[in-house]
Parts: sequence; structure tokens; C-alpha cells
Amino acid sequence: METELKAQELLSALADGELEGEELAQALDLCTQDASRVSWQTYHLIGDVLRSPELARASDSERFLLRLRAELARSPAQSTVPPVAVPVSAETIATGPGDSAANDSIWRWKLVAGFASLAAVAAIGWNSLSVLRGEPLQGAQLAVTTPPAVSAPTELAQAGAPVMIRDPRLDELLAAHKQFGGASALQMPAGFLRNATFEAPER
Amino acid sequence: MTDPTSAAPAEPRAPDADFQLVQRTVAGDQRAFELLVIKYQRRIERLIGRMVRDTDLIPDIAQETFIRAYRALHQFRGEAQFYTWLYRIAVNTAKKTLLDLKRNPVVYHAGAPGGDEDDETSRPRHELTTDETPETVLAAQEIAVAVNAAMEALPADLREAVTLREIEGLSYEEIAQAMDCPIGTVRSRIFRAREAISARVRPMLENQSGKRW
Amino acid sequence: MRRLRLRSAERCPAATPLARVCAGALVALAAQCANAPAWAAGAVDAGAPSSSAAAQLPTDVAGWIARVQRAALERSYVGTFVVTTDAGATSGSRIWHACEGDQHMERIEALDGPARTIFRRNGEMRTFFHASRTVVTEPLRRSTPFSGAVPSLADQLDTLYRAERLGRQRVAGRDADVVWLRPRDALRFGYRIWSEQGSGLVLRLQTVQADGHVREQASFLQLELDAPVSLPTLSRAMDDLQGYRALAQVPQRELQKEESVWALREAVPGFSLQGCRVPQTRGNAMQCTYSDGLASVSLFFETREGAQTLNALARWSAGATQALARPLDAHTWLTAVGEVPPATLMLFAERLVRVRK
Repeated sequence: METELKAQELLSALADGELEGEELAQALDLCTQDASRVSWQTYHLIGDVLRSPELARASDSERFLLRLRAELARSPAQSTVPPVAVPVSAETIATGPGDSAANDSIWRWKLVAGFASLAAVAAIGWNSLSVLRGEPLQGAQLAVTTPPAVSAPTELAQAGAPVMIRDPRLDELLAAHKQFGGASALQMPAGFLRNATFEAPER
Repeated sequence: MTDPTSAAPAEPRAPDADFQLVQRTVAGDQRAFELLVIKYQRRIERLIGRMVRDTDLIPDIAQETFIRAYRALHQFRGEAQFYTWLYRIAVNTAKKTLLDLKRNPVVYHAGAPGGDEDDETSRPRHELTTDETPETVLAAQEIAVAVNAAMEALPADLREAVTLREIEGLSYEEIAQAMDCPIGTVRSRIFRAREAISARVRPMLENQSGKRW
Repeated sequence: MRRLRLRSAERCPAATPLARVCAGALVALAAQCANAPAWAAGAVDAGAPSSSAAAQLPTDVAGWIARVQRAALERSYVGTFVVTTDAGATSGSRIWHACEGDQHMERIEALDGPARTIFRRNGEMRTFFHASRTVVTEPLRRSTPFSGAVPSLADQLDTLYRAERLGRQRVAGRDADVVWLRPRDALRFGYRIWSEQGSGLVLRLQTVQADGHVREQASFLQLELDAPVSLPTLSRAMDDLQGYRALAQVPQRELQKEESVWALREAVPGFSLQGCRVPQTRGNAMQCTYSDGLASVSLFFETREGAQTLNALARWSAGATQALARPLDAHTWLTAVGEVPPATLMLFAERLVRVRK
């Protein structure tokens, strides 16, 4: 039982891309087991639901995979040539020396000093938040949007932690900015919808 | 108030969970690809469902999407994110299927040309696909409520860890800094949070998995 | 609604490409104010073959903007459109754009997020949420998403950005001219535009940092130009609320100048105030918007007691959009949001002063 739990923990870390070398190999070995795949599936369902409640549905992955395996087995062996410089589609134009090809910075919520979550502030009616965000399902308000216990932010602050819980009120302001924000001559179609919904943990 | 952000440090990059699996797939490990399939099946099927009216077509198009992705994976360079790349394949595959059906209407059994979303005169406003019925919405609600309840029931440190990971998208290293604990503790907390939530959710999934979705 | 006049070579049908470019440059020079940089007059259409189509391409920023806007106003299309951030977040839509005479509107189906259909017609946006069967109607600030917005800002575009042609590339199965609108200072992002060769329509738009790193990309995956989209049909669909419950919106009102509580003691270069608005139910909150013609910034002021005890600064980023939050004084909380580098938001925050009790 103990080793099973340890194994499951590897899957959890694999889902976050935080495994390497030996552990990565171990985790992949685990995935031949049905139970492991169920865990993998459930972990990702949880993540999806936390970010986007209407993705909360069971899916028939076992059946889907069976069919997929059969089809892949039918086709000629997959080329396992390591990635070569043949892009599927040219994403950027080579320009000058200043052009950086690698995406090497990910932005985050960052605090510079201790900070209390703004989630305690009621929505002020810039826009009907639930409506613009696409209505979180009734009762499915995520725990993270309710004000954390008073002590929690202080703990974060004391840790000097440069992190803040995402604020649903910020989403409201973002929407108001998109809708009423100053003029831009460069609105792509539905430019006012940009950033409307990003459902990955990344932004 | 001084501005400590004036010299912003280079942001650490969160590990790309997908690219690891892509690399393993290209190295010959199909199981790694299957993990990607499980991860994205739901989202891809929903995407396809938004483009194609007939829900019977969705699993077929989803299959073809993943097959095409698998076959083209050796060309994926990792400059874009895997999901973005997969997304494009799904959109193209759905579009291609619709065009094929248009050309061969005899083959198409599922009914009126309502399967083709481009004909906006026949169906001027998108409506829910047959799968996004009030019933399925309710079922989704049940699961979402369960996840929410499970989150609230978690001890604060577990909830915080899984929130920073799933909602804020921080890496384990960043979470370790934020929570002032070792990375191993972060990994353990996230795992235990997931297990606790899974316990509540799994029975529901088993009930529902009989349905299409 | 005023359309931006084309400033570049289209006005001067000279015979040879070179003459055309020079003539166009002369027109550009004449049309701009006296402090237009010399390069604008002499700019040569880099790398363009000597076909008549290429020689018509603008060489200045205002010219490019006019070109892409005109296309959006004049052509119908149907397409699939995806926005991605540098972190890999993805959001897709299916878009129908109908033009008829002076009118144009869009219908957008969300491919991600909750199932919803959004219509835009003139200054109005209406969203149908299919799961809950509700519908919301909201005003959009601009009468059209593609309007030159503020004509006066168009005049200054070339003082803030410069246009650099990058060549040609295919996007969504069509040939496009690529131009990089590079900012002349560090206060704004740049934009790479893939403009469809024939029509000028924007096929892809990247928001880029000075080093070329792409923060956000909005791109068509598929596009059917001049598709037979019927505006009356879309309009009828937009007005058909049957089966949907209308949700009321919080009304807003524009603030009069005398009512402003906060102002910039020094302008942030290139940005001018577009207006302020207040939600009618809550007088203690305000949104003021600024623009430089391409980029926009919103400042949200909220009255909150004990604001300063928090004594902190928070930043947020997603793709091109940056946000910053901090207290301004003991009673006021500021959140600044915009598609500009974080340092620009900081500059706004630092230059705010209270002008009224």
C-alpha cells in the first residue's frame, strides 16, 4: 500500500512535468496499469474543473484508447527520428539579431511585498462578473475565490512570498478594460474578446 | 514607495509537462502519447463539438486528430506549446470532415445540413450540441460541486499547494518559495490534495461514464 | 463614422514603382505634421518586387493601420481564430463577419470556455450563454472594433512607432505582407502584422517585446474571405431572444471633467485620456482609459479604507496584458491594466496625484 501511494505520487508529479531521469521512467512504467491511468485521468479532470467548471465530465478514455491503439497498430511504424528542423508551420519570421526564438519567460502573479488577497472585496459591478466569465455553475464557486481565513494572507506575507491568489475581481477589471479600454486601431476581429477565457494553468 | 520591480529578474520557466511526454513518444514510447491523449481528450472533444453539430461525429474526429498528431509528432519542434499545436490539428480535422461531408451528402446520415455550421442561414445561432443538454450540464455541475466541496474540506496547506499549481500555474520550485517549504513537501501536498479530491469525485465519474459524456 | 484616409502610395498613381513610392512619400509628408521624421519621407518598400500590388503598400504606420482597417470594414469573411499567449494558453473562436454598405457586424462562437455566442453590431455586444439560457447586452466603447477610434491619435502613430517590412509569409492558406510596427521607446510593445496581400485584412497579429519575443499571438487558422455572410440574417439572429432570459447590466455613466479625483501630474508620453466612467450603483469606483492609438491602459480607482496598510504592489501578466495593483493613499486602491510593458503601468501609477477631495 505504501509503495502504491509512492507510485501514485510519481504520477501526480509527472502531471506537473516535475519528474526527471529515473523517476520519469518509473512513472511511465506505471502507466501500463489501468489504475494508474485512472488516476492520471482524474488528476487532470480535477485541474480542468478547477479552471473551467463546465469541463467537468466523465470521458470514456479507456474505450477511446483501445480504438486509438488499434488504429495506430494498423498504420506503418511511427518514425522515431528525433525532432528535426522541419517546422509544422513557420510561426515566426526570422528577422534581425534581436529576435529571440525561444520563449524563455513565463509571467506570474508576483507580489513584491506581503499582500492580502483582494478576494475579500465584493464585486463592484464593473461588469456582471459571472456573466462575462461565462457563469461559473451555481454552487460551483471555487474555494479559492472565497476570502481565505484572515491568517492565511499574513502567513504568505510573513514568508515574504511573492505570490498572490488570483483575484476574480481582477478578471472583472480585465473584462471592463477590454470592453471600454482606450482606443486601439489594431483590434483584430473580436479583439474585445482577447483573453476572454484561458483554461490552462499557464496564461 | 520605491519600485523594486524596476530590475525584474528573469522569470523561471515552469517545466513543460507536455514536452517531456512528447519527447518520450518520439523516442518510441507510445504510453507517453496515451497519457497526452487522456489529458486532452475532453478538451479536444469539446472543441470539436463546438465546430460540428452532430455529436456522433465527435469521437471519430477526435480519433483522427490524435492519430494525425501522433504521426506528425516527430515534426513538432516544441517552439509552440503542444496543446496549441494539437488544437490546430483538431480544428483542421473538423473542418476537413465537414467539407468531406458536404461533398458527399449521401454518406451523411445524421440528418439535416445542420451539421454544417457555415450555413448560418439554416441555423443562425449556435445552440448547444445534443450533448450539452440540461442533463449533462447538471451532471457537470455535480462533479464541479464535488470538486469544490473537496477543496474546501482540504487542510489549508494542501489547498494552497494545489491552488498555486492548478490555478496559478506555478512550478514546484515557485510554490516551495511561496510556501517556504522544501520541494518534496510541495510534491507531496499536491499529491495528497489530488487524492483527497479524487476520492470524492471518482464515484461520480463511475456513475456517469456510462453516458457519452 | 469617420474613416482614416489612406496616406500612402495609393493616392499617387505614378507609373514606375520607384516614382510611386516617392510620390507616396511626398503625400505622406504633406499629410503629416511638420515634425514627421525624415525616414518616413524616404522609406523604401524594402524587398518588394516591382509589381503594382506591392508598390501600393504603405510605408508608414498610419498607412498600414488605414489599410488593415479598411479591409475589415469592407470585406465579409468567415474564419477560425485562435489567441495564444507565450505561456501556451489558447483560446479559439469561430467568426462570421458581414459587411453591407456602411454596416458590419460579427457573430462569434466560442470554441473554448462556456458555450456562448457573441454578436457585435455597432456599439453593442450581445452574449448568449447557452447552458443557462441567459443573454446579456453591453455597450462597447468603440462604435466598431475597427474604427480608427480616435482620429487625432492616428496622426501621432508615426511619432511613436515605425513600420518595418519583413517580407511575405503564408497564413491560413493566404499570402500576407508582414510588417513590424516597432515602438520608438520602451513604453509600449510592438506589433507584427500579417496583412492579407489582396485585401489587407489582418490574418495574424503578434504583440512583441523589443527583443522580438512574442507575448501574444492572435491568428486565423482558416479564413474564407468574401464569404456570403448575410448581415440581415445575423441581425435577426442577434435580436432573437426567444428562450433566453435577459440579464440586466449595471449602467455606467461618463464622468465629467470636474468630477475627476485623480490626474496625472505629468503625461505618460504618447498616451492621452479617452474618458472616465463610473458604475452607477457604486460611486466609489472609477475607470479611466488612456490610449496611444495602438495600446490602451485602464486605471481603476476604488475607494477602500485602510488601503495603505497593505503597503504592497502586485503584478500580473498574461500574454500582452499586464496589470498592477497598489494603494495610492489611505483610501484609494489603484489597479492598472493595459497591453503595455509593466514599467509603463508603474509610470502611470507614480504620476497620479489627487486633485479633489
